[in-house]
Amino acid sequence: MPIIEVKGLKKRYGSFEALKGIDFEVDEGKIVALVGPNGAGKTTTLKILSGFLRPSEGRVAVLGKDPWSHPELKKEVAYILDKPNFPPHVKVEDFLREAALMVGEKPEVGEEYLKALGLQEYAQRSFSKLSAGNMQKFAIAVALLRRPKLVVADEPSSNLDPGARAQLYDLIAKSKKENDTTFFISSHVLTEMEKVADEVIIMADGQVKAQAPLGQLASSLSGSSFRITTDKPELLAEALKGQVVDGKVMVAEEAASLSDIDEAAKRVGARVVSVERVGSSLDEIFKKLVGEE
Amino acid sequence: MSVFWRFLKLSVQEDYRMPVAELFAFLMALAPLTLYASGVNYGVLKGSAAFSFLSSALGLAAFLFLILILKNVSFGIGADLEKGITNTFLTFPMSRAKYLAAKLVSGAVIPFVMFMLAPLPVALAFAPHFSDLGVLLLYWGIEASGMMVIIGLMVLVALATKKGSTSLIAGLALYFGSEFANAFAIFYAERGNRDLFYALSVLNPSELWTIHYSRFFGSFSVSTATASALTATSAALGVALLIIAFAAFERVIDL
Repeated sequence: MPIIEVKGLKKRYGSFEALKGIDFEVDEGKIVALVGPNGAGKTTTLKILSGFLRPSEGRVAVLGKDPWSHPELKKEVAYILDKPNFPPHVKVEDFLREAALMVGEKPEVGEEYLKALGLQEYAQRSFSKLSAGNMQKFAIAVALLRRPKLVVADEPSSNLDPGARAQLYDLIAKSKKENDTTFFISSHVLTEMEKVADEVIIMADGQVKAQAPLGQLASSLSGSSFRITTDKPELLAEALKGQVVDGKVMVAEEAASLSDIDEAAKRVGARVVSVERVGSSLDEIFKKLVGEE
Repeated sequence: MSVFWRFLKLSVQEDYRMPVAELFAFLMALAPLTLYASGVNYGVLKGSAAFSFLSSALGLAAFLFLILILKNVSFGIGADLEKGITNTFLTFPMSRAKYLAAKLVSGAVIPFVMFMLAPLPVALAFAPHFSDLGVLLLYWGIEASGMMVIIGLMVLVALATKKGSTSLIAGLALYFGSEFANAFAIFYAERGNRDLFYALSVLNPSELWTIHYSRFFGSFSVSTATASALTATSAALGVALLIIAFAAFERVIDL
């Protein structure tokens, strides 16, 4: 059974139509990435799923219920805001204790997440003394401490440094494994989403352009490439009109066959160690579907 | 403890982290009555004397509490909407109506109860001198209805603009605007045209009762029936504005 169902969803702000009738479903236990350029309608979609915005038309069901009129859903559904903010003069520790109790958890549960995100030293501080990054980490802790069935997250890693991003994705993996939590995550960091997402929804201009498991999406767009390990990557890349990525030559399958690679290598005097066929990256798929925006 | 009470606890913690102004206003309200009770004026206060005494003794405290309430409502509701703190709280399993109710209890009801409590012990302890406790109730009712109208409008402005500063300006403009307008309206009422004064009294009914009790304006007086009806209208308007604010927040307003 899908944990999120969206049918014919439209959202208008005056005469501007931010969502133009989108449809998608998210199955339980999956990590689904929502990607798209700025203004695609990602945040609007997430806010409707979280009951912050009312749809202009269409149907939205989260765990079978309309999120606007069922605030009790938030016991099982956590929402991580893109720019989270907290009452500035309340202490981190006090808020976390009340937050745990508000969602029916033991007050000490929050401490586990503070430790996991390296926030223990900030427990006695008030929110006004927290950086944007730490505020973001804290929002993640508050969301996950309720052991939710579903987490809807809007750019959850936007304010985080690389170390904290790794901690975030560890927590996501842990939560999925231990609680079978479904994650619906909007992000601009496509390389990160590629590592964690089971499925991708690509949005642009208020419409869903594609929804599929990442591998399926890559093959359906016939976007496979060859990854060539060689001793002269620059020369071979130039000969094949490819690119050097991490010291290896990447060339699209449609641009060169195996025999083309062999000939080019002979021509430039390069020794080919290995040739692997790899699917398109999320970044490439994204560019193909929505352009270079 | 339910989510509502936990949220109210956090709101109170935020609104009253340094309650110096509240304490000052509370003592301000207490002081004149203590002075009276200790023997400055031993006349038995009834009816108009009791009302005049209360309005002069508590007038400044009422003003201070009103300013505190305006500050709490504009920052607690408008600024929280502006900064996204409201969204943070609404990620918890709590209805929008309960969120708004907790904000109003913390920002407005608690200071008003402090204002009500200040004169109560002294008035009760010295009841023989203050034989007309009904006037005290009336005074609280007048202050409450006037405040409700301003708060109702402020909350609507805060919800519509999602800005604390706009809401505060609206509240202050309404309060001081109605005070100025009342002064002009009384001037015209003295000359026979009372409609404007009565209309403005719905926003701020205290002048009605001051005139009713003092009969300061000679030929111009306000009957108990008129003053009561207009105060009830003011209270009804305040309640109606708050109901509209709750309904709009619960059913219409996007965050």
